[in-house]
Amino acid sequence: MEKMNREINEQRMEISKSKIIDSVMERIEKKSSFRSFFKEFKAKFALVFMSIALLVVVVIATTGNDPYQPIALNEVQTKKLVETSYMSASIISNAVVSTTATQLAFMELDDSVTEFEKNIDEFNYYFNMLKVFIDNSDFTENAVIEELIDQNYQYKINYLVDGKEYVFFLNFDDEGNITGEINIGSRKMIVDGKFEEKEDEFELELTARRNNDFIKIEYKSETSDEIETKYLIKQNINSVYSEKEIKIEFDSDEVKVEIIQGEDEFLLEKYSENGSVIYFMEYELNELEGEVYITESIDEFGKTIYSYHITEGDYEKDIDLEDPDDDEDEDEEDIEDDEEDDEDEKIDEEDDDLMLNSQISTYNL
Amino acid sequence: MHMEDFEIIKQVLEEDKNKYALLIDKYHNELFKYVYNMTNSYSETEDLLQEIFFKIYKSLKKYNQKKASFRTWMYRIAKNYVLNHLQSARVRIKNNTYEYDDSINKSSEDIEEMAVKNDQINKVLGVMKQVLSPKHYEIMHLHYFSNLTVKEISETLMIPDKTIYKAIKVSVEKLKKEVT
Repeated sequence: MEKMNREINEQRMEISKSKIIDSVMERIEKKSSFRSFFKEFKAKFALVFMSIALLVVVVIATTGNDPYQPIALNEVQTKKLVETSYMSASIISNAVVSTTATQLAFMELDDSVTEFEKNIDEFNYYFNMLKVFIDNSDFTENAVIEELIDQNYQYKINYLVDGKEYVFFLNFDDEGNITGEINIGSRKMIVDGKFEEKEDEFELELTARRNNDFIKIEYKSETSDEIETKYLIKQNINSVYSEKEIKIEFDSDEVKVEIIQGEDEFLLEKYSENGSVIYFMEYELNELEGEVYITESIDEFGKTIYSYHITEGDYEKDIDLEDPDDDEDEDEEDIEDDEEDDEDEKIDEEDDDLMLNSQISTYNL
Repeated sequence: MHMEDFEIIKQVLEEDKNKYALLIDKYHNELFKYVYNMTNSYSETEDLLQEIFFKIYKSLKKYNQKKASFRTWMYRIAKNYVLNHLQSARVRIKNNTYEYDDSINKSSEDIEEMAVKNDQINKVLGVMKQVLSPKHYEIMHLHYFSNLTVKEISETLMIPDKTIYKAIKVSVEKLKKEVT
């Protein structure tokens, strides 16, 4: 692609260079002299500061007041805590069950099975979790923070996503270390992490654990006016370790979500057509590129159905799948049983396999 | 090349801040072209570059040569600064006015050619802003107006180069539709 270069007056550019060098170096000089001024008086300042600090300590000690003051959570910290705790709790509590080996073996034999279908379970869980971001509903605004007194935790943060209540109890110290737990209904996850703030940089790491599963989310922001939010996710679910990068890009009227796992990529966006909402996704899986249109509808039993129209290579396919969250209550009971009885887990997986094979129609282009 | 920059940075940070002038001297012209392509104004480019080079100096301690070359790191700062600046309504109005330069000394054919080219660039810039998402806009403005390669744009924006290629392809198609 041809570069677009305006014609530039070289002489003018050279004059500008000398002017810029002079002015920048002058500003640097001023900055340094200001610093050296303070350096000179550093010892005196340090002495005065230490005396004041000593005085404050003495006053506090003698008045008998409790020196403990909880550190306040600021707006950015709260927003990012809510987002990362929601993402980690949502993924870990749904304990993404990737397509089983047997299922995959059958799929490999069937030429008409697209790469997307082989990864659909995992994609679906991420799609459900990230839909709240794509729908551009800032659920973090509705989070309620409560300061707890004389309890195991300093703070309680409540928020609702898709009608589900997330309760996050946490402590954090002045070094930014976080410990806590997240509860969604009867499911509980143990959490630890760390905040770091330097000038215009903000970093947050949060790890949620449930039984042998864990998910660690790292968030880093370098500018305050970010239009893209990036999360690095490291997870170990059902003894399978993986790393993903999730980018959420906010624009005035649209939101895009990109999921990158190694060489694989999903780019998801949402738009409206004739009054109905359509999610469009471009992907690259195992070096195969494809597109999926996802539409959402409600069936006669009130269940949410996602219809996928997949185009991958020479194939075009339509698949209908139920929203896994609609079986939430049943799943919750299953999970409790699973913890006691491994046999039930195997049966549940077989049930999941059956769900995937519903209403598939295939034709070659 | 890379080591040279790092050596200068080390000296600036440790012993001789005046060495920073070497870095300005080295990168001034390419950043000037990049910024001027976006602003179409010499005085505005000069003002922006002063701020950008000072900002780079202030951030020098944060530079990590393991993560990016100094050049792409510098572009990251310049890109953020210029785009933020251009987003303000005040600047948008100012951009529509032309500044006097010595083009009067050129032949009338040259002036006409320059004006057509400037108009084309302004049009493309306007369309880019309208039809591209912010991320694609960032990619395309680096692609068109800087001398960075796709690999360098990838390093500047911290986005995989495959995504950059794809974004350029999609954006060019969108722009072609709008411009033609």
